Amino acid sequence: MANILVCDDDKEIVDAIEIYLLQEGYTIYKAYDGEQAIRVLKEQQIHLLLIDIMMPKLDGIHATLKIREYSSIPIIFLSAKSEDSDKILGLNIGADDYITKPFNPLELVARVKSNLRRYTTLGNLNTENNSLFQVGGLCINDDTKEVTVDGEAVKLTPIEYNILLLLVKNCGRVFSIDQIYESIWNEEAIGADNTVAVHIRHIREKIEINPKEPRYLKVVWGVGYKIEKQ
Amino acid sequence: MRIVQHMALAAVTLSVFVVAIGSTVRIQGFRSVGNYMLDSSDQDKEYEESELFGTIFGYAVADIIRYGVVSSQLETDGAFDGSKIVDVTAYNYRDIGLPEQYVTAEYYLEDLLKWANYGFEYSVTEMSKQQADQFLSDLTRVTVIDPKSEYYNTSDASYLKSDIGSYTFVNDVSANQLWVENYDDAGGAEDYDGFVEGYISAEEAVSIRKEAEVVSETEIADEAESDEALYTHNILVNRYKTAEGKNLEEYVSDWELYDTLCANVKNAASSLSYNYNEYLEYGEYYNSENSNVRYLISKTVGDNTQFYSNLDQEEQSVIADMMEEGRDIGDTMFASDKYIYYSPAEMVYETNTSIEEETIRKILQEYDYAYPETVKIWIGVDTDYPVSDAFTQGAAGFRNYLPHFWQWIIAAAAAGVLYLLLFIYQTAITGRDIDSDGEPCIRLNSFDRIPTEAAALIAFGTAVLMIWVLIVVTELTNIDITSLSYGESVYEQWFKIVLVAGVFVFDTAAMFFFYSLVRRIKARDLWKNSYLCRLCRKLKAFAWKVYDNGSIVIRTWVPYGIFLLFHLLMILIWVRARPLGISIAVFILTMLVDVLVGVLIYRDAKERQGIVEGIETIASGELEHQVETTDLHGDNLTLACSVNSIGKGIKDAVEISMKDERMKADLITNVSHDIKTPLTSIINYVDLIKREQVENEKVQSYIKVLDEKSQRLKQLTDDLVEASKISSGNISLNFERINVTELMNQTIGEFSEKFEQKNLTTVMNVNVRNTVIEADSRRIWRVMENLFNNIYKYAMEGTRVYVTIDSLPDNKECIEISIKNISASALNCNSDELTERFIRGDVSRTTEGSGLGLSIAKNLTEAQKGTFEIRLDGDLFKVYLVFPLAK
Repeated sequence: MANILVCDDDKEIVDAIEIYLLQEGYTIYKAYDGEQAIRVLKEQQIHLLLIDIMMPKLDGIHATLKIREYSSIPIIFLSAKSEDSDKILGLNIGADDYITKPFNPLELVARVKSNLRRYTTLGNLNTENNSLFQVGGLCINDDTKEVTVDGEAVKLTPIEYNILLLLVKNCGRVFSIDQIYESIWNEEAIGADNTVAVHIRHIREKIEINPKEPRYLKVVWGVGYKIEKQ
Repeated sequence: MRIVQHMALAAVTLSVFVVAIGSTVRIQGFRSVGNYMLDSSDQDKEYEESELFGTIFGYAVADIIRYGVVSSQLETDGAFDGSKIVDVTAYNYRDIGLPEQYVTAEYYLEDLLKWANYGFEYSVTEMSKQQADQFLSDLTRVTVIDPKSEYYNTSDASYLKSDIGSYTFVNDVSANQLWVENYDDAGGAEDYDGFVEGYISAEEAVSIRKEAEVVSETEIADEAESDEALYTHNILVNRYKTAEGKNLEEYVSDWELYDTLCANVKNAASSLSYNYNEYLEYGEYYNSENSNVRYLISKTVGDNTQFYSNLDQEEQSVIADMMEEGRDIGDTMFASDKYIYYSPAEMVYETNTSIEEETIRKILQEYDYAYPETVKIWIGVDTDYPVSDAFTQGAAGFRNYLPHFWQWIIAAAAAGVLYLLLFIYQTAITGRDIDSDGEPCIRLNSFDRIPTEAAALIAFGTAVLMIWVLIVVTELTNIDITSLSYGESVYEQWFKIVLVAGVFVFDTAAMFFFYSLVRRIKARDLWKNSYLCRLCRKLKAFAWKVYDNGSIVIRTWVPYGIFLLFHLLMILIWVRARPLGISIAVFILTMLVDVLVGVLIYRDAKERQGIVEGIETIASGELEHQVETTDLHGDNLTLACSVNSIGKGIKDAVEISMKDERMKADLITNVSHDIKTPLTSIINYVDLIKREQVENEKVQSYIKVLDEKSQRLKQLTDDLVEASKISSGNISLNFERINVTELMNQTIGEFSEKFEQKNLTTVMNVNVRNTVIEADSRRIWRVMENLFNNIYKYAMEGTRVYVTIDSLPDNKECIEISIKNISASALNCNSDELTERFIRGDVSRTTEGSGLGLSIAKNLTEAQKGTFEIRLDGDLFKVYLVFPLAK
């Protein structure tokens, strides 16, 4: 399995993460500051880096900048800084994901898995099938009516599937509730209610790691819904 | 330096004074005192060559020729001869020539002089023609000039006959059939030269008179017809008899001739008297003891040669010999002297002076009756000047001044330049000094600190005092400042000393005041340090004090009253003024004042407008705005300053409060960071414990509590950070068009599951078509999320939640979103408090929630230009959101 380097100045957090990831079968390396992390990276074959931002000696931002000079492994920031600006900065300088503390351990594991999968298997996927739609880790096969997220199959109801398919087919376009209702139910939306919204929420709960911070199916509040282009 | 300057001015004055007085020589000439300018072109010449000498000499020559004339009338053989007999008519006609026949009388010279001194008296007598005829002689005695005489028709003849003794005889020869009365050989009959006197009848006399005067025929006829009429005649009182011992009336038979004769006597006497006085004065002035002038005039008439001279016997003979023999004057003892020698008959003119022959000839021509061609004139000046006279004065003045002329001029110029330079230099540097900091400054002495007017008064007083002293000195010493010339003893050394000292003192005083003035100007103190300035300031301060302390009544009504009074006064003057000029002037003045007042009012209004605009700008939120105060006056300035300070105060207060909020937000953010890290561990390890499949149910329940509380702690910190950020305005909003209906549907959809848990039913009503507003989608979702979470937490289970979208009844531009639900527990606080931070409906705070939800919702709504209102109606919990519609 993959080798994961966890780097945080809080030893307990590192240990906790180690426990979760060990359960998933990963090999864990530990570091407690940026310099250590870089040293470990040089010494070992590391497939993914979980790194805190605020650390002694060398902070996560600078460490990431240095690592990015020679490595393209997935890097996930793990930080108590929850401001939008912090997230944007982190992602811009080369991180692949950003998890704010305190985090849900399951989400952390899911994100680690997702990033590893992208790094190891999905990066070179080539699809020529017209009935195969892919957005990031989300993949819909219209022939088999199968939906997979990061390779894992997701079970959707027919309406949910149709809504998702509509959105994925028109990736990036925002659909209002009325529009979705009309195209799925083939009826005029009279006093459109929250039916569509409920379905969307259900889809999100099924395909998203954290439905409150969706990666694929985004809510444009007051306008409609869309699948974000990856 | 100052003293040198004063000395220089004194030197200038002295030099100028010397030049001024030296250039003019005061000469005590004959009878008069004259001032003569010295020509600076003469400075290289000897005195005797100079124009001054020439002038004096010229006057002397003229005087002596005149003296010769007078002498010839009054003297016989070089001495006054009172017994000379004078033919009055011939004397009167001496310079215009006698007619061929004339009526005359002869008097002794001294009688005529005395008569002139006493005065001539006429007695006015009335007499008939008969009486008149009897009063006069029967015959008129006429003197006839022999045409064969060598003097006939020459002016010489008449003159010589009257004033040269040898010719003043009467020859009673019968001529022209006239009856000759008698002979008189007083002057020597042997010298008979053709003058004839004779008596003619009255008729003939008339004919003579006719020749002299034109008398009309009618007049004569009138006279003849009025025999019995009385005639008024002026009869000369005969104080003295003629040389023959007769009265005048005995010479004529006709009244006209009588009157003429009387006039002739009178004129001759006056003229002689005048000449006699002159004769005496000349005699005194040109006396050899009083004058350096020597003269000799020889006059030959016939064989008789007369000499007029002030030479002594020996000298006279030398000159006379020279004249006689026609020798050169250079051979005489007077060769070294200045002289002229003129002999018209011999065409000889010799001189070693600058006087030209022409001049002499012209003088002589005036007296041609006295000087025949045979005259010989020698006039000399003793250049040793043994006697003090005009020449001596001239020499002293000339020699004192001219040789040093240029020295004095140069000295004056040099001293003048020096003075000027020093004056400029002193003016430039006076008062200049270095103060204790090494900076240049203007140092004032104690006099300079005296107020300007007082100093001016002192200066004026000093000037007056000096002028007074000058006047007193002038009065005491009798100096005539206006006629400065050399020769006045009073202008000698002591006066120069006084002058120099006076000028020195005067300049010292003047410069003292002048430099003080310069220093005052330099220090910009002239106006400031004056009583007038102080008075003006006091008046201004007083006016302001009255104005500032006065009530609004004084402030407005007093200037208005002054304005009215002024106009009233002007109207009165206008009505009363007679000359048009004053009316026009008053009109123009009034107009000017009105325009001025208008301008002032306009300025005031304009300033106030500027302030009002400034206030509006500040009120509209531009707290940095400051009202421009540089051009403001009076109340407006105060107002503007106050507005500015209020604006600044508000700005500062806002800034401080913003800063405080930001600091608070930063603090909360930092604290929440620090909380989050240990919280992460807690959550993770609680989760790990959960996974350990603990059998003990008690422990399981404990772990559950830990899990819930740690989750809540996480929520709390997030909310806290967000609330503080929003309230400190530390968020950026991204406005876009939001359909509220869509938003509410989405929200209800999101919460459908949660609401189902609590058996809550949502009822939504949309009463308007257009529900698009402008808002930040994520933020407005946060508002809805908080509100719905609130409902989820606090609504009574199994009730309905009403969501209504409607337009405001009074404002169609806004839409109102109302969300109503029934609270599970009684709400025991008021609606405002609910939106405060950390306020919750249940005071016990036992339920889940941070107490920040409504606060965040309210702040976010307001940040998106909406209004957020909670109304409580019993257990009914109502939230009203109002947003303006998108345009």
